[in-house]
Amino acid sequence: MGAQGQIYYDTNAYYFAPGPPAERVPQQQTASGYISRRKSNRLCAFPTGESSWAVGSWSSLYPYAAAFNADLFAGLNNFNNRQIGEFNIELQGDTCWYPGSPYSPMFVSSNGYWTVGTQRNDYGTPVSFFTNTYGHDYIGYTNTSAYYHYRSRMQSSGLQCGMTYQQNMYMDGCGGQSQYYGTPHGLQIYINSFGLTVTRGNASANKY
Amino acid sequence: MWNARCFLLLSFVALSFAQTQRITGPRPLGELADRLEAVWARPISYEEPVWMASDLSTAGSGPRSRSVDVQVAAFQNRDRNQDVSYLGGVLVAFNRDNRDLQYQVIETSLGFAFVPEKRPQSVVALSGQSRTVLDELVSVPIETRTGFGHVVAIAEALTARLGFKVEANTPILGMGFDRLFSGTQFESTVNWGTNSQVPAREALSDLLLMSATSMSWRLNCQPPSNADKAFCVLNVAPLRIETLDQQGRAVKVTLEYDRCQRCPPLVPRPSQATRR
Repeated sequence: MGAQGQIYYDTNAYYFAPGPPAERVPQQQTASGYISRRKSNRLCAFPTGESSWAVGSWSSLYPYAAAFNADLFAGLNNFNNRQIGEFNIELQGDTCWYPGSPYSPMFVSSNGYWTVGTQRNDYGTPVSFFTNTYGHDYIGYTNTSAYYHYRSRMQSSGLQCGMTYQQNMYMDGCGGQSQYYGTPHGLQIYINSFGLTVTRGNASANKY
Repeated sequence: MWNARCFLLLSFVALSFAQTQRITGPRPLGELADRLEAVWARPISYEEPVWMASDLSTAGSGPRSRSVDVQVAAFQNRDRNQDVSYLGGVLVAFNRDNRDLQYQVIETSLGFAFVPEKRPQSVVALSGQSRTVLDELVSVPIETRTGFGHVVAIAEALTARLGFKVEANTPILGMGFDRLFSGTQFESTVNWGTNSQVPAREALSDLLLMSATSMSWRLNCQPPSNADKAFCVLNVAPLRIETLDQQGRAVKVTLEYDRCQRCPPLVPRPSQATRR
């Protein structure tokens, strides 16, 4: 807790799932009387961060999308079966795209969700069961032709292109409010004359 | 199902007196579709004709540059009933300045689409292409595929029909497209296809009606150059709309799951107050 009783989420992995103490709230319509609202105040823990690692495989649907897992910094907690979500902020848009490119500029959506403890492939089939680990998070190109198109241009120019995102991870709040945890990590996809490099936080995968 | 309407273009006077902004580039109507989609939050698709070598830019990196004048008020328009008249005004200006490439706006079950008119007979004779790509009749076998797998199937049917390559593409990286399409936590498949030969645009519209997220398309074509044959790319993507973040800064966000009917509950994103 902070000096004035405020919860500092960045220093405390624990907090009481949000919600003020129960209070009387006047009912708005017809009937008289009061209803009570109370949110859960049971103890709900959150990870303090996470560490990414490349699984070593690529999507079976999209061969230029790499699979990553993430180990949660859990302390003594077991986060299995808790839900994880992502929120990606674009730091640098698609520098492979150029005016006249037949491919629309690429971007990352923020709609990946995972369940801690069960790692699933791109079809949602469980492939491993590491405690306090979630995945797979697939990052990379869906369209092989687009990748080849841009790689060919990079081979001609000797430059590299790609995009950079900041990825913020959050976890469900035990029935209360979900919460961001850890510090945001980088998400990078780069094409150069050799091939593709995908980076998630501290881990990378290459395909040449 | 497909229900196209062509709009009469009667906006000469309004356009003449309105404050306008010029968009110049290889795909000015495509860029305009992006910008209007962002502020109108309404699907606006864009299609190109099959280009000839003479359509290639001097840099060889796409179609040659063109311009279109757009009323500035169009970007501020919040009255959806006025959308048609603004689009009509755009077409008047574009068609007046580009005699070799005439466009129309059609209304689909999903929104609007900028679609090229048939090109002049002299151009058709040279390119051998009399119809716009998505007017071609296709038959897609009914199969179980992912959302993007269905887009690929339409593109393959077009490729077989036209005799040149039409690629399917989505600008969303990773697994995003399939999840946004199915509205599920993981990529799930769905049974879809056409029972008979239908125009490709109708097939695409019918497919996207099944999506849990509003989508639009950009059919971009690459003119032939010395090294490469012409080809087209069917880009399908959710809408990226403009909004303000908590600090009041303009940001673009992807519209997600706005058409969900039976989407499973997903973890709610935390409020900014809990951002670390």
